[in-house]
Amino acid sequence: MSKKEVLMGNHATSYGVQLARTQVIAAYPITPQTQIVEELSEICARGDLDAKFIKVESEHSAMAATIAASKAGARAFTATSSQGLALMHELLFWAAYGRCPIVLCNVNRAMAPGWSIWSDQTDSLAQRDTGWIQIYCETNQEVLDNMIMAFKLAETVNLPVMVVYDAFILSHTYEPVEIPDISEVDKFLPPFKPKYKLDPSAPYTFDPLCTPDNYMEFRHIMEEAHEGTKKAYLDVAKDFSKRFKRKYGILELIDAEDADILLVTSGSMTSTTRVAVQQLRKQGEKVGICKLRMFRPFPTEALKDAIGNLNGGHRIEKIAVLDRNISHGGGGIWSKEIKGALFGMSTAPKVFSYHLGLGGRDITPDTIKEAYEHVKNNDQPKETVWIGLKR
Amino acid sequence: MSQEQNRPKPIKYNSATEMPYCDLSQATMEWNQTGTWRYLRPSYVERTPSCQAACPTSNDIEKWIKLFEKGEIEAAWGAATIENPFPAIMGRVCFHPCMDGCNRGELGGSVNINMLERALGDAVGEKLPVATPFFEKSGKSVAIIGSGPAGLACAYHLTRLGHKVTVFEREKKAGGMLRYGIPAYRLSKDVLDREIERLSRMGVEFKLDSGVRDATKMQELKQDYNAVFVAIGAQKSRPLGIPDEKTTGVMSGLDFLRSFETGRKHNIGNRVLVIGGGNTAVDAARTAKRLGAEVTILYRRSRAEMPASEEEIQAAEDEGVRIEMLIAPKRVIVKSGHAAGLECQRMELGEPDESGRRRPVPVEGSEITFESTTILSAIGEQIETNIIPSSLRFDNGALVTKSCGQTEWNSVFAGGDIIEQPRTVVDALCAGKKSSIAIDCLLHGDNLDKVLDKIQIGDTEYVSMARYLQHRTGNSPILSTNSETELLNEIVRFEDLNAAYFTKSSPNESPTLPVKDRLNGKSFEEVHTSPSEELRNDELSRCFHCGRCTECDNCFIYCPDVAIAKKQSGFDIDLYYCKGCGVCSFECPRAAMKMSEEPTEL
Repeated sequence: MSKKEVLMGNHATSYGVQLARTQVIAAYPITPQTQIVEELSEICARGDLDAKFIKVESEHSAMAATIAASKAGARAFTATSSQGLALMHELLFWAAYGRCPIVLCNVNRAMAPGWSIWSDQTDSLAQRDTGWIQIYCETNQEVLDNMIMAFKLAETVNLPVMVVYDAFILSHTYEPVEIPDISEVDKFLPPFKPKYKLDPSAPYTFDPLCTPDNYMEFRHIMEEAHEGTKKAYLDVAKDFSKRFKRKYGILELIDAEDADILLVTSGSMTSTTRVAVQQLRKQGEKVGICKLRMFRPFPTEALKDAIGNLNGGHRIEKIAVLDRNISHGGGGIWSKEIKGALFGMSTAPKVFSYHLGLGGRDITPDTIKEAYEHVKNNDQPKETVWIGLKR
Repeated sequence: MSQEQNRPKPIKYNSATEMPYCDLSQATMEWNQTGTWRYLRPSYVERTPSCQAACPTSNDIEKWIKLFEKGEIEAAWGAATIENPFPAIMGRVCFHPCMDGCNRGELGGSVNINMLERALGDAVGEKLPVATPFFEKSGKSVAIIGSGPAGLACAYHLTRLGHKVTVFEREKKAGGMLRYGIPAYRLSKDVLDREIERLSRMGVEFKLDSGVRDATKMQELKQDYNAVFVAIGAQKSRPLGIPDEKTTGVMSGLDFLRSFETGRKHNIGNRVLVIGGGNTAVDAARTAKRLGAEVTILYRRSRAEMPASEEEIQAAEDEGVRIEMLIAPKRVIVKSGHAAGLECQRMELGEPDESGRRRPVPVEGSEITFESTTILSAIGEQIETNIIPSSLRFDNGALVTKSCGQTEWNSVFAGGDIIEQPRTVVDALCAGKKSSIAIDCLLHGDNLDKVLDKIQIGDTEYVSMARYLQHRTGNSPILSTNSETELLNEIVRFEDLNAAYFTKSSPNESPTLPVKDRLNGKSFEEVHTSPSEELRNDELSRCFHCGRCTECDNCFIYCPDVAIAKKQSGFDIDLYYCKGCGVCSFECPRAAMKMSEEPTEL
């Protein structure tokens, strides 16, 4: 039987990892991620999870240990944030290119300096080219559910998955969360059985020298795996919803059917945007939300479908992409990706870009409404607009 | 070349569909010879342990400790006796400078090498065959004058080098200061007899009671023998230079000690004053104490300046010997023709003198008297110069010699207390060995200076017999067991070790007779006793084995390229795969590897 508890986002992660019967956990503490591994260490110490809990001296080592565990055939997990994720950078490639189905929880925290512990997506988005699948969560329930689904997805496509959510807004905030029964999870997520693993009786050299004769093929094989990931996620989500009655997609549309303008969101700001949209709709505004859950692989087709085929051909005029991140010299990262995805589409809406909430600055319904007012009152997008900036 | 031809090729895929989903080998990876990336290559070396460099006999202590630890006692004894003929003696009387050099001193305290050396000598005891010569008989003969430690060492090494040796000794028994200067509670006469007997069985001829009494006799020996080694020591007590010192009741500490071996008995009475601060003074004081007297040492400087070994001074105090510092004798008080006491003066320390120690300066009006039944003077020993031909010079009381004890007369060498060197047993053994090598070079027409370059340890003046044998024969019975291992003269210091692999531990003290037992009927039993096997093994295990491979497997375990393979003994580095990262060398706890620049191929 499932049970409902009031959990902080970080503990939702811990229980998700426990329910997935993770076998190796290696992590280094960093605010705002610390409680994830604290709770897991206690779960392991109590004997409630039969996992090897490896204390390491850095995030680099945490990732290295996790890779080794995965190569040895173990279901492996790590968690980090911000500078810690940046320190893992080199090994993120080893994990992905080595096709290790590791799950990593990254709690979004701004990159320093200025030294900050507050929410900002730049840390995880900056790892977009490492070959990891990235999933962004809106609520603590999504966090727990996606943690379990992440293992299944990873092991299906042999790619590592990063499950991402906002510092403090989810990590330290308590929400009611339904915790599935482990026997149900066991039926959903069978034990990890990789095709290749470290085994002295059938030895392989893992990740050896690869000549130019073969390297491109490996990249192509992996790219196909990424493409396949979008369908794989939908299959996993379908199976999940059948068992646990909660539905997940690559993206979600809210109040979009008759909308002229869509606000494009990710992470916890979606909840705030829901409130803003409710208020705007009461005032008669035709506004909706496109919530993106998956960043890598980027859901190009899903996005095109969603924006191009609303209500049997209803056309969205404008979209406002809300970026709690920045790629300096390039603007908002989601925004760039979306522009790239929609380029050349004859029915494409005009894409407006907004920076907001950087470094943990509060995103309130008024912040969202300010962006909406801007997109509504401008015909053509120009440069990225900074909402709430003290000029 | 054949290696190149046989080199396997990478697997060839015609389509991505044949490939695994991740980069992993599906056939041998031996074609990937990462050794081509290397610009530094590791190799195994033997460096010089710091204990060996601190030992005047260059004793390869690490080598025999390793064998001893494995229980290969005779092999350990064989390794030790390459450099030092007498482990059983030196394990008793040596002031063990090796322990000052021991790198273990930085992590809990030096290995108690002295105790282990004694244990080794005693473990072999009576049963061991004599050390065998390294060479066939040369047909050359050498005369040695004096059978103290310098003479015995020279006789031993020359015999092993194949020469016929005759030792001339004026006393009735061989041993010199080992027998007549060192009391039995430090070195039992049984042990000394046994070790000298071993030399006789090796073929050393002892002519006892037949000392060389004048310079003419020495010239005869020079004619009759291919070489002569003079090791007559310093046997004459330095006079006190105060009024009435020839009175009955005043005698030299050295004569007093000698009397125990010659059988003469002295009635020293119950109140003995010993003048001096060296080992002879302390030996005389502890001996007098064992005869039941109340003993006071009078020394003109402070304790810090006492030349005697600190351990001996401590033992004397433990046994109840009083030490009066900053006291100098002024005159002997004579009553009825017998010394009845000593008038002394208190001193204070002034400026440092030429020895670097602060000079004692009399304090005016501070006269003090001590009563005595016997006064023993032990303020130093002098050389008896009468047998030395006048064409050989003395300087500052020591015979002038060139390198390795060679005198102005090319075939005459000298060593031990007769020349300018520290007056210790171990320095005497060093001198005996150095002269034996110089004599061997002379008899072979070898250039001594060039040889010395090859056999000196580190930057010391000490020489290694093992390295000399290697020079003579191309291999050596004691040096590396692995012919590929390069021998380096570099001395291993603590900072050269990877200290992370060693844990702190305290040394095991040598077992010691309780003080009360030393002063009763067992008075002349040895103060130190042999350690138990358990104690010995624990102490053996404290050795770091500086600069020497112990096959700890760290290099093998850490090599990220699996390029190090274990052999039956030692390791092989596969240079086809070694990338030269240096992890092996870094993780070697004991500096037994080195990285060197890759040779440039031409």
